[in-house]
Amino acid sequence: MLAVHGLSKSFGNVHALTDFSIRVRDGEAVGLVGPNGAGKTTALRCIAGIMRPDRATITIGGHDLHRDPVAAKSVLGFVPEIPYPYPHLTVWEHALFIARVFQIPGWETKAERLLKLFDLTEKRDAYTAALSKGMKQKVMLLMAFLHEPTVLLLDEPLYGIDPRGSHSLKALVRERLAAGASVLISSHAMSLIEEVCGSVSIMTRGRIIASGTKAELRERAAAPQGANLEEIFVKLTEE
Amino acid sequence: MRWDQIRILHELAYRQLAGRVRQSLERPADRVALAVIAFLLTFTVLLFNGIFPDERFDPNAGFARFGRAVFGLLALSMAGMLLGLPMSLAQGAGTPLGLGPQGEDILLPLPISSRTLGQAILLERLYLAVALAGTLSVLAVGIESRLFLVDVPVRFAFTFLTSVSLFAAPVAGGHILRGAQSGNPTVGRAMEAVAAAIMVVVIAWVVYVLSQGPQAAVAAFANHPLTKGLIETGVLVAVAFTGTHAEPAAMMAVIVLGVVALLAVLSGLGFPYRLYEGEVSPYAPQQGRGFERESPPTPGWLERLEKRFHVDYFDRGPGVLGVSGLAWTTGLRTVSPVFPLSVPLLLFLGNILWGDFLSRDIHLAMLVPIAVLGLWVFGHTGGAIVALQLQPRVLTSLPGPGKRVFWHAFLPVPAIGLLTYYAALVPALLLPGDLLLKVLEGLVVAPGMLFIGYIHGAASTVMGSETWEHMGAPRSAEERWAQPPPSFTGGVWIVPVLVLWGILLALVPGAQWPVVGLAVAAIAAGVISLITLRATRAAQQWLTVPLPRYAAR
Repeated sequence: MLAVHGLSKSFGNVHALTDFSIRVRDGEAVGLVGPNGAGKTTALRCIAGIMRPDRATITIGGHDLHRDPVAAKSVLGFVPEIPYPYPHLTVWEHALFIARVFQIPGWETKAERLLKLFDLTEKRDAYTAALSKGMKQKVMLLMAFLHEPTVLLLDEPLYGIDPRGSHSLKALVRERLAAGASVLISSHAMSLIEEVCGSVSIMTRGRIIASGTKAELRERAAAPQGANLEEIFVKLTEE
Repeated sequence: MRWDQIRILHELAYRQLAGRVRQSLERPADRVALAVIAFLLTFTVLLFNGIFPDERFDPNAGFARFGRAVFGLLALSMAGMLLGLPMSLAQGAGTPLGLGPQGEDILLPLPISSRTLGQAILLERLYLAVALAGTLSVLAVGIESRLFLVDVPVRFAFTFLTSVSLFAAPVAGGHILRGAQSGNPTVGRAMEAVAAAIMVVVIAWVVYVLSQGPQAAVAAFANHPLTKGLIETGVLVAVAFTGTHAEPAAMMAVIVLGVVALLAVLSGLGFPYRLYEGEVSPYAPQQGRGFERESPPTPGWLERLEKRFHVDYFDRGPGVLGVSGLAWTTGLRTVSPVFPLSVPLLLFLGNILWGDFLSRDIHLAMLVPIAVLGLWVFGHTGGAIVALQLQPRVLTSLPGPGKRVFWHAFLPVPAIGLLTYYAALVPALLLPGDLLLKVLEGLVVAPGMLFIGYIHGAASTVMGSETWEHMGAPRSAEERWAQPPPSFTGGVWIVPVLVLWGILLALVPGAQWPVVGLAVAAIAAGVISLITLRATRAAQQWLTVPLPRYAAR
């Protein structure tokens, strides 16, 4: 389970996040959507522990991120907004590194499967500096899924991904959900959110302004019955 | 547990380093260049250390010391540059561990505490600092002791060992790093052990110095078989910078040339000084500003070579085509092996006036720089020509008869190179001294420089095409600026340098006729260069008019 309470983060006079709270239960996927600059990436980076919040209580898989960051991060999988794999490591070495850090038993089989799912098998020994951005993103996905995390944070996971990769990613997310993982996805790809996430949180200017299932949000936005998530989002953020 | 994690992080760093090395040597031409290093080391260092140990060749003479410094620095710089090590340490790798591609922090939430991460980084920095301190301490000892070996057999043995070890270092390092690539879990521990060994050696050295007293320790260190050669290099570098210069003019000459040389060295090592920022080395296409590899669909090798031909030999103009023949122009434009070559050369030009080189072998000392330039250019253009000749379509596909391009554009270059060589040779032969020795030296230096020039010319021609392909055509004024510049200004500055050098030589107090002769030769070379420059530029403009298709891309 992922629980975030009272997350605030400022950059000088700019309040990127103000009292941001969210809860993602086991086996649940929550979509985090918002306009550019709303603070989604900042929120995910704070939750992942790679950016220090001004104040927050963050629990990942039952571990307090502040008190026991190593335990919290050991169950966490994170895909950053922009893929930055290590340029001088091969794809396989990325898997090896993650396997060693997370001490994953039988990691080779899992890595091979992920390589196949993301069409990376032929690029196994290629340096990531030579990969396209979509390929780099797939490497980041591989790293995030390899240790079978119980909490997943995905920030624009479809960045540069081809349809086959997109399909594989959705399948993997569902697989993790079936295993009881909590998944938080930040994306502008509404179709991904609609397809995978049971509920959605909409944020603007560092705050969550609405949360709920698609039906609940539609009702709150007073949108017509057939409105899709994009239309609901536009209506809610207009206010 | 913490140490295990530190080892994992160190292994990550070493793997990244290994990746950089492997990428640096990925292309055959890079490996060829590395072979050139081996050649330079084993051949020239041995030469200058008494491969002809008789009474006519004093290995302690300025020329021999200069030779060791030149080629030692050249080889080391090339090795470091080719292996990408300085770049790894200085930039691009983020933290010393290379943990953050953006140079900030680990971008992934790894289950490693920040304290462990900090310790890992601290340890690696400590290792680097100790290694650096060890190098500097050896240099300092060399400066302090100013000891030179006199025993020729011992010198020969040291030279051999030094050459072999220097040659072996990149190879051995490559194997060690490949070990890291192999996924061997003990690699991290092994690398830590190496670093720890360095620390132990340095600490032992400090303790030894403290216990024996500096003089005794220095003498023992300088005469120890394992350290003599290293000390010599340190001394030579130090003397080259400081020299024994009493006159302000000499100091100015040395300082100015030294600063230029230092910039060249630092640029060669990957420091992005503005003068060279954005220049793209055929050996490091990603260096400089770097562009995303979003080139148009990859054309064939031949087409790339055509582009390179156009870019280098037409867009860049005589900077490469003609006057660059006078050597380091091309070196400065593309971070190339000529960089390190230009460094000791420039130092030498300053030092020759008032330094230790005013000895009985001054005639040899004077022969070297000009001859080196001439030969380098001759070899460089020769290599480029051969590379192009291997693909005759490059020539024939050019507008107008390809042969016309060939003869008009290329022929003057090797001719100038040879002319320069002989211009240097003649006054040297006229100087007092052992004629046989001078001829011998000329014969020995010539093939080396020809070989370097040839390899560089061919390699840069071919690899440059790859660079161009990686980067794609310039899409904006800024990119065009960062591309190999279309102007030929790089070729121009050789003219005032040569003329200034000649004037400086002419102003030497109490200069004898050989020095004056050399000054005249230098000025003449400058003037000839200028004429050639203008002529080749005119030819270039004439030839490039009908070639807008590449420039417009």
